[in-house]
Formats: sequence, structure tokens, C-alpha cells
Amino acid sequence: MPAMNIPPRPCLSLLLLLALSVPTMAQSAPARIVSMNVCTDQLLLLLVEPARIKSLSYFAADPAYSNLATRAQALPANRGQADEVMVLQPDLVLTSAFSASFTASVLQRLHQRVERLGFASTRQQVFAQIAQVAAWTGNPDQAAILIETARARIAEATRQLQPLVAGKKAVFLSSNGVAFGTGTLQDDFLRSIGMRNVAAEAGVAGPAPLPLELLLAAAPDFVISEPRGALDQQQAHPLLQHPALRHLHTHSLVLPERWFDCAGPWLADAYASMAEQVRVQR
Amino acid sequence: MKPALLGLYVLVAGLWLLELASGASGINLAAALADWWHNSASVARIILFEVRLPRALLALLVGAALASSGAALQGLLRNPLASPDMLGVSQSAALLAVCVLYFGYSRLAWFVLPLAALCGAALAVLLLLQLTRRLASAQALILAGIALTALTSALTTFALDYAPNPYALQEVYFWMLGSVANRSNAEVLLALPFFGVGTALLLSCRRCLDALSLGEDTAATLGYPLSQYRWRLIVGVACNVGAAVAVSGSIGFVGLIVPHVLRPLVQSQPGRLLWWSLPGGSALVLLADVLVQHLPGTQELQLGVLTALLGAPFFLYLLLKQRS
Repeated sequence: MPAMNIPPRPCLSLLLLLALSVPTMAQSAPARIVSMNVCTDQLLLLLVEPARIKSLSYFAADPAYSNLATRAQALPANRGQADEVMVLQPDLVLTSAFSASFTASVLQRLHQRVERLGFASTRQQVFAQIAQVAAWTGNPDQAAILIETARARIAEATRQLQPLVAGKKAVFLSSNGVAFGTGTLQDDFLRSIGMRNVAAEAGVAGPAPLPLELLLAAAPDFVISEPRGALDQQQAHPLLQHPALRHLHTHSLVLPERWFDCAGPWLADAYASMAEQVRVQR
Repeated sequence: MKPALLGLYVLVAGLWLLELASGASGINLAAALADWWHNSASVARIILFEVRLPRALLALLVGAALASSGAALQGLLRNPLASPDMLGVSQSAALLAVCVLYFGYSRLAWFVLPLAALCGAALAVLLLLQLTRRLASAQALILAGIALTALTSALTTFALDYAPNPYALQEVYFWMLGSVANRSNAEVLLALPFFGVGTALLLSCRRCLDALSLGEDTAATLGYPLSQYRWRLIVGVACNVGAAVAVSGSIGFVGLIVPHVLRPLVQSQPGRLLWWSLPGGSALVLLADVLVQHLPGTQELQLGVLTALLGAPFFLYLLLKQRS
């Protein structure tokens, strides 16, 4: 906030100087940050030194959702309740535009600074979100390094992948028969390496169910889903378990959904893992 | 066979073919059959025999099982408002099914899931029978059913909070809405023995149900050992509802609507109603499943949502008619 950084005039009393400088420091670099969403949790862990993080959502320490679960375990967890956040006296509360909305609006009514992170459905939006959280927390340099490294890794993997998979058909399948169609990060991922997204071509918009018949008729070259361990726990995986899929000549690839659920440099892990798996399958 | 009953079977056959012809992909059925005849593997053949056939068979079987269970419960409890889902029988079956699904017991053996659902259904029917003896009116039993439904639904959510899978609640929410989409022939084979036993048990009680409609004392005087028939009906309903819930979730109102629509055609004889409810239930569920596939919209509606849309207003109409 440059407007708050105007140096005080010399004639101002020391008291006034102090009174002004306390909120100025708080605004420029929040020192008591609380996150209530697993996406902002992870970006905080990457960008901000742990001493400034007062609490993360309890999902942050869960390896099913979080890419930084072990690092999150050292920090206190919250369940997105307004009282447990208030008692920490945060100077910045981060959440997503879609989660804990009641708590966020209560906190705002109590004059807390709440920032909401949107939904990233393209690589550009992923990088923009990293930069956005860094701007809120006052860590733009860390973000620049992260983004630059991720960009370079993605470019390298894309260069390897494109000749191998260009024009091939793929589909991302999730639980409940849900596939990732247009307007999803998975769709952007597939198109960026020259692949065709079967779900988008079948008319699926966002994450939505893909009829089994359309999946069979499209005959994808690659079916991408969660790793085996996570799948074993999911009963409602009708598309992946259906015996009719045996007739398809499809390669199965494994990419954890947590690489796509939240903006972060792990998107580069998805590209690198995809390149590695495609190379092995050939 | 009466012409009306014959007409019902023709209707079921027609709807069954229509169901086979319905689907998200525009496959050529003639080509699919030709591929099957020449034993050549084609996408059309796979879609017809491994996607549409199990779906159409399950709609047929689940409809018959639910409607006959509804007719049997109405006869057994002598309450025209009774049906598996109104009284919480389906929800009790779902509770036990969810428990074995999400705590991993369903992988122990193929019959664990339907057997658990069956036990849930049987427990609910037993409880309802006890309540019928103590409750004065038909409406009071329905209220007890609503309480049982609320209790079992709450217990299901409670159990899911402790499930190791973080997606469990969402998965079960969709599953409880009821659907026969994306099922395979394995599910048909899983449910078939239970449907067979259940329906046979219910049909064996036809005459007893007729006698029971004259009152318990009259039925006993006519020489029907009531406690034995009661057990047959309970196990029959449990088999049918348990297997239906295990493969298709909770599809509501079928057991309520079908016996009511058909009752005037069978001169209100509960035994004959049981026979007629079989094709009647198949026809309703097939019709509903054809409809969900042809309704406009980006996502297919869950089958149970459509039967509730049809059934809930019908239930209100029944309540009003009962009063007048």
C-alpha cells in the first residue's frame, strides 16, 4: 500500500508518528496471518516464514489434499470457525472465494482484513494467484522465483511431451463419474501439450459427470486418474471400475488431483510426471 | 390372463426396448446387434451389451422389487400409505450398506453389501411391525416412518463423518439420490438371486394377504399361520429392498405409487395386487429412466430425483383423498 507509506512531516509529534507507523507496518507486511483454505494454506507455506503464520486450515496437514502436509503439521490448525480465528488476532485472513463464506463475512463485519483467492483454471491464473498471495503477504521476491522456476519446468516438460502426445485423446476422471471439461486447469494442461480433451469434446463444462457411453465412444488414448491408494478408498468410481473399459485400448496415467486443485508450483510436477509416465509407456 | 395385465406386460416390453435405444451416444442398435452376431468387437456392441443392457435390466428388476415390496407392506401393515421409502425401510438398508462400504467390509465377499442392506431393511420392518401394534392410526405409523427415516439418515451422515475416505459424504449423497446409470452386468448378477428369493417369498403369501385384508382374527380362523407368513413377508421385503438399495441407491415412491394406481384394477385384492405390481413397478422405473435420459440439460438427472418429483405430489393427493 504505497499511499500509507508517505513519510510523516517533520513537524508531527513523536506520538503521532508512532500511531501512524504501527498500522503502516501491519499493512505492508502482515505478521499474524491465518489461512482457512487449503489452497491459501499451501501458498503461505511456500511464500511466508512460519513465524508469521498463526494458523492453517486442518486440510493443510492432510496428504490427500495438501502438497505440503509434513510442513503444515508443525503449525496450528483451524476448522474455519470465526471464534478460533478471532482469538489469534490476525492482521490478515486468507480464504478462497468458495469456502468458509459465513466465517469470512463474520470476520469482515468485525473489521478483520480478509482476502479471498479465486479459482485458477489456466497456467497464467496459477502464476497470477501465486503473485497475488505474495502481494498480500509482502513476499513478491519469493513469488517471482517460484513462478520463474515453475515456468521453466513446465516449458521443458511441454517440449518433451508435445512430439509424443500431440493429437492424442485423453480424459481426467474423478470420483462419482466426474470428468474435467472446459474451463478447468486439467483442460488447459491437456491443450497446452497438444492433446485433445475427450470430456471437453463431449460437451462437459467444468468438473461434471461424463456419461460412460460417451467415454467409450470417444475411445481415449489416455485415462488419467488419482493414484491407486486414493482410488481404493473411493467406492463411487463407476467409470474407472466399469468392466466395459477393458475393451478400450487405453493407457492409464496417474496424476494426483491435489496438483490441480490448488494453484502452486506443483503444476510443474504434473507436467514432469506426465512426461515421465508417457516416456515409460511408449 | 386378463387383457389389462397383458397390456401391462406389453408396456414393460416396449419401455424396455425404448430404454435400450436411449443413451448419451447415438449408436446404431442394428449395427450393434450385427457386430454381436458376427462376434466382432465394436464400440456400439460394447455400449449396447455392457452399458445399456445392465441399465435396462436393473431398471426392470429394481422397479419390480420395489413395487412388490410396497404392495406387500401395504397388505401386511394394512396401511395404504406404507411403502419401503416412506417408512424408512430403504434408508435403514442404506445405513448398513454405507457402513460396510466405507469401512471396507464390502470387499470381504460379493454378498456382504446386499446382505448388509437386507439386514437393515429387515430390522426396519420388524420395528415397524412392533410399532403397528402399539399405534392407533394409519397416519401415526407414517409419522413413525418419518422418524425412522430421519434417524437412519442422520446415522448415515454420522457414520460417514468417521469414514476414512474424505469424499465419502459427497459420494453417498449422490448414491442416495438413486440411479441405475453406469452399472455393469456384475451388479445385475449380484442382485438377481436376492430379487428371486424375495419375490418368490412375497408371492407365496398372496392368499394369506387376501385373508389378512379381512383382519388378523379372520385370517387365523381361515387357517393361515400368521406368524409364519409374517416372517416370509419380512424376509421377502428385506431381500427385495436390500438388493435394490445395494445396486441402485434409494429410489423413492415406486413402492407407493404403483400399488395405488393398480389397486382399482384388481378389485383391491392384496394377493393379486402383488402380481400386478411386478410389471407395474418395472414400467414406472423404466419410464422414469427413459425420461431422465431424454430431459434437456447439461447433466443427467438422478433417477430417484425424478421418481420423487412424480411421487411426492401423488403422496399429497393420496393424503387428501384419505381424508375425504
